[in-house]
Amino acid sequence: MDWAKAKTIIIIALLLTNLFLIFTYGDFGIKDEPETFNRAALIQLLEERGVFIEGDIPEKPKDMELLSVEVIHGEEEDIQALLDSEGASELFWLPELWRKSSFLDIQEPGRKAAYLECARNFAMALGIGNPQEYPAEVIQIENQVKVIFENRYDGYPLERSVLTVVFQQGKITQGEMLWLVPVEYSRKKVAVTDPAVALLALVSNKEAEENWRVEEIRLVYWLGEDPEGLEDTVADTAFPAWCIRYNGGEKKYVNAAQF
Amino acid sequence: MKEPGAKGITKEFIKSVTMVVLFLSTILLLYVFWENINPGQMNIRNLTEQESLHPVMTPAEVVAPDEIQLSYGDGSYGVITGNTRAYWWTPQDSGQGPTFTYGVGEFLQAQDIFVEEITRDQYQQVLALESLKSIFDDPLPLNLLCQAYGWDCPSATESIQQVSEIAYSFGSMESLFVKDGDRNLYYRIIGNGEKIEQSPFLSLYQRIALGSKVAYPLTLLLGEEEANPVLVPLPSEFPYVITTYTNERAAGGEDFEKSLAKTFFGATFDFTRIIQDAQGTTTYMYGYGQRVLVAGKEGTFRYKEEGAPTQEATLFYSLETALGFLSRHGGTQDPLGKVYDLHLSKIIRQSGPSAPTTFVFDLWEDSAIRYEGGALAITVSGNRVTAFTRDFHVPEKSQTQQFSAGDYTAVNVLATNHQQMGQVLMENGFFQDRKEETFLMVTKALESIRLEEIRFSKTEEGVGKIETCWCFFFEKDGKRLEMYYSIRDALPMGYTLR
Repeated sequence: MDWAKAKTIIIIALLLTNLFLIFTYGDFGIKDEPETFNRAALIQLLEERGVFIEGDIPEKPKDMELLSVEVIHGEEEDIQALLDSEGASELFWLPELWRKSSFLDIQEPGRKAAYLECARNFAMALGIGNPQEYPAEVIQIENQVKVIFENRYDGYPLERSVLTVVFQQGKITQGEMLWLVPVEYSRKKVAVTDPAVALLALVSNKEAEENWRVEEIRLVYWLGEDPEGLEDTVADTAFPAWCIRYNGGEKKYVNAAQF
Repeated sequence: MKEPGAKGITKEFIKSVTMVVLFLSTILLLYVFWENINPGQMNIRNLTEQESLHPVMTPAEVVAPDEIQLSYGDGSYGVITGNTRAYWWTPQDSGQGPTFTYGVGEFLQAQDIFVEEITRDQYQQVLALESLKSIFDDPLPLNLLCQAYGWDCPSATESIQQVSEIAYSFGSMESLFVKDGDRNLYYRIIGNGEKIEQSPFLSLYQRIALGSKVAYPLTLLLGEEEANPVLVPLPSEFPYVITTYTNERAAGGEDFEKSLAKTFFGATFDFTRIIQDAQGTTTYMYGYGQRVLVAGKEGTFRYKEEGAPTQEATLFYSLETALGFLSRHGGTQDPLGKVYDLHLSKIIRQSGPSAPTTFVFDLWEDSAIRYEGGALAITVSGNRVTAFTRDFHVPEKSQTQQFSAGDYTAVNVLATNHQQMGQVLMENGFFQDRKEETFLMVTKALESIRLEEIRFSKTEEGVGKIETCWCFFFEKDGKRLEMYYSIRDALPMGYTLR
């Protein structure tokens, strides 16, 4: 037997096997399965049951990890102490803005950026890491401007993780924080259900005479229904869930992990 | 043939190395994809960790009477209320001499066994002669004992449902006696007559006599024949033990908690939600709550599993299932490595063919400790364990001293506290009103008096004490109440309604 030739053949066979395994099972960000529901049929079925889809139905995503999170509670007294601390006026006030009569108009050029920068100073002082990493929304409600930071992991929002910074008359007067810090993710990934499954689950929980206009369906990391809230929780595990927003902001969550 | 040169040898060597590397990488890739592992989270510890198993206990090992009584036939008695296991059952090769279960097993091997119901008076009369009796505070089904100890129970014994006492009397050597406390029935199991010198009960009787404490019936001590004949231990000296204890989470820390939790959810906690609260409670939840383990701040572990029972199971099989489950989930080893014996203290059966059965256990060492609430409770539905509660203690400081009963004998405790006892019994529905004198009412309901080590319930912080004290057991219409009194000053120390 020509041992040298045999080795060459074995090497080629093993190489092909490895390539086959990598391309078959490897995670290259490609969708795991083709869409399992006929979109048009699904929309028709939902409409027959009083659920009208106004936004897009996302595609079924790839498998996701479960996320261990540390729960950081922003205690009211700590936030107040921070606002009263020395140097607070330099970091958490916008005196130039306040002097202008239109300080509440966040649509003026550079106005949102100014509020955001000041809110980021505050967020950093609260210890949430680098605030530049977190998407934030600047909104105006009556005589207040609010900057709301959201937390994400791997592109998915961590529901209930929120830092709201409230400005009144150009200075930060209030802050509300419940911040989830991802500390670890699961060794194994979990398969995620099709969004159609979540929509159908929504239909099954709906009163027959109600009409729901679904504005958005998105995948989030969620800590589950917790009747006692997160008041005492210091660590938890977030699971993937479909968040369905309907009828002007109402939300329903449907577990998306398949075990 | 052309000999390969140095270049050829190098080329072949490189090929060999490549082949080995490719082969190993194929194995690794197969493992990773097969297990659906996220390679970023792999570590060598995960690959090497294995589920630790503790020895599986058998039902025979966990059943033991709460008390053994011995009658000398002259109105005096001996009682053993500590660890009775050495007299009840030991592995066959122990060489300690016959045990009670061995004696019963030998007795039941006889041909032509039959069973007759006898009266309470007959039962008491025959056991007032030289005899020995094992008492179970919570009655056990006879068929469970038959299966646990391999007794060849004939069909004639099927009429006996529960065993709260099983006894042998040398006044009727061809018989065994059984009391079914739940139904208030008394039985005589009649086998072959035995020669006294051949009876394993004889050597057992002698062995028990050496280890027992002297006791007298209350009738004799009060001088009233109509009084309750319950035995009152009268030791002149006895060891008084007081131990402070903490809980397993405090003693073993997070490592112990995690190692126990891993037995339920796997070494890597895949798909397990872990919730910690500020008070120190940790909840492990598999999936959407199909399996939940709560590690309480006071050191108690409570596990629950959803799911319907898959099949009906006998009590014996359910007990085996519970013990098998225990061996896979921590066994009886505490965080310091100490391994306890188990004592089955109670069986709670719900009605229905595949209704859950809960087995409650105490931990026994050389001495037996009685618990306010069990140390371990395992609920079995069909062939599945659906609930598991572990509440072990870890001793901290312990003091033992020889104590003389002095002024606070059991009779004196009874005389001093009968009003308080009557009040507690009334509050717990043992009596509706005081038709009789309190002392009479209390002594009538008395079932047993023992000197025992009690593990008192722990505080919210998870600490408590174990202390030797007088225990008065009351029973009425299937309801049991235990009351505890200090041996130092006869003051009440609490009570447990079982």
